[in-house]
Amino acid sequence: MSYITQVNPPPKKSGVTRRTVLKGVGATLGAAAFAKAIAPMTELTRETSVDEFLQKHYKELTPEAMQKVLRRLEAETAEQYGAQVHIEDVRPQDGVKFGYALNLSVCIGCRKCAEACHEENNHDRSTNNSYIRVFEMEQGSIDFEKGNANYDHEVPADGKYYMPVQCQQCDNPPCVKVCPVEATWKEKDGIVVIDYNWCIGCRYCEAACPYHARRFNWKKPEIPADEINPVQAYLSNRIRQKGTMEKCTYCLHRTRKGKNPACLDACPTGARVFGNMLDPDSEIRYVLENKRIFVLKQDLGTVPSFFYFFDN
Amino acid sequence: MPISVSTGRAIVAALLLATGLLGCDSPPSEAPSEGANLAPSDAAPKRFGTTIIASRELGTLATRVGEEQFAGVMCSTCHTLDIDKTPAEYPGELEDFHTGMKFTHGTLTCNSCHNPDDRNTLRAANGKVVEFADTMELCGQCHGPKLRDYHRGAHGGMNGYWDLDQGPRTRNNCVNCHDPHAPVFPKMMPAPPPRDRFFGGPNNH
Repeated sequence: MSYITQVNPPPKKSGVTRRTVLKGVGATLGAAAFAKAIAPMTELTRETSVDEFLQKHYKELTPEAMQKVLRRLEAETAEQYGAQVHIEDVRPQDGVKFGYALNLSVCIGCRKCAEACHEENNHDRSTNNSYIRVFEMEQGSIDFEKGNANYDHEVPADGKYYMPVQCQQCDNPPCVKVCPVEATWKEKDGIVVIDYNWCIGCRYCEAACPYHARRFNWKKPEIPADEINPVQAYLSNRIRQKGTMEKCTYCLHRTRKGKNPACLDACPTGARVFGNMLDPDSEIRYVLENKRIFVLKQDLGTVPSFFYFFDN
Repeated sequence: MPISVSTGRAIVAALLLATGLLGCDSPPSEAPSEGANLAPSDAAPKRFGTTIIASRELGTLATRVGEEQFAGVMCSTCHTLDIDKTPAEYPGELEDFHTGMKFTHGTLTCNSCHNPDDRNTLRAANGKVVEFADTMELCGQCHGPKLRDYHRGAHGGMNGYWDLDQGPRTRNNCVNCHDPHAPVFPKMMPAPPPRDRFFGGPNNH
């Protein structure tokens, strides 16, 4: 006698099984995750126009193409910020090599230079960004590890001196060497410039710069329309977009027309001296020839065009 | 081929002599520029000029005339009166007037700069009368290196153009920044530091 009976397989259930439900939920979640992952690509097409995508490098633009680019940029600024600006392509002058000197005996650390830079160069307002960082250093030492760039008390404090640091416009610039796309180069009047539309935002230059002169636009700069400086240049203070590098340009939209950079005009103590190093009668030449000058991180061989000096 | 000691010594001596003669540079052709001239000498004249602007009315005393109003009063308004009193020599001796002012310019007497014969003017150390408008000359008699630096652009700042062929420039008078009685540059609160993107306030590194 056998108690094993033939058991028929259970009939296939019709309708929704647990397995089907799990498959459905899994597929929905997968589709949602996929959609979220490619969502930034939809924003990308909104921000980049075809003209911008196809724009050539600054050095390859003909004068007519450059004018078209400038008008397009002005229109974009008007659309995005609500401000009418005038962007120019300001070229370097012949026989000019800029030098900048800073008198450490006189700087009181008021940060008016940083504030002027912030307003002149159309920086993002929420971060109070500026190309100039002023370090409060211990008197008697040049140890930057003891330097503090975030002081917020009455200046000058006892026992401290103040050292503003900005792009040194090096003659042997490491940032230019590391750029993989040649978006940055040194012009013949000494200024190291960036083509913001060519820059891919890899930040190699930021890593290479020993002075942390190069800043990255982590987000689109936010500036109220009435605070935008409308006198702009392609290579200097036009409003940069998210994802490009930027740096001090010695206000080339001003200095290439003979004006002082904004930081110098704002300095209340007259600690800053700027001019053409090739002119033997210039103020900067007087400082370089008669004062005790030094440069930062000289051992790195960057050969800066920014000098520091003491009076005595 | 081996060289004898005496020949070797002769060769070394000759080399040293040659190096010494070659290493002597001709004396520098230019005299050092320090202290030589106040302004660049044989430069072609620039198209634009430099204007020195004094930020306050020089040569008058700011005196309150109303609740919030001040008027400039000429020194001779009071100082031509015949008063039988020994004039104070040092700021500490002042009793009735000018007592609210701060005096921290070292151990100078009042008449180091002020002209006792004509209080509307100043007086240099050699007795020369200096108008208030020319006060920079007076500051420069003691602070010569600073005045030289000022004229060469290394002190006192400027507004305008670095290139005077393209635009003009304005500069400060000494007293714009330095109160002659308390010349130390005043302290101030700085402009705000950079803010962290996420936490606001200064970064913590």
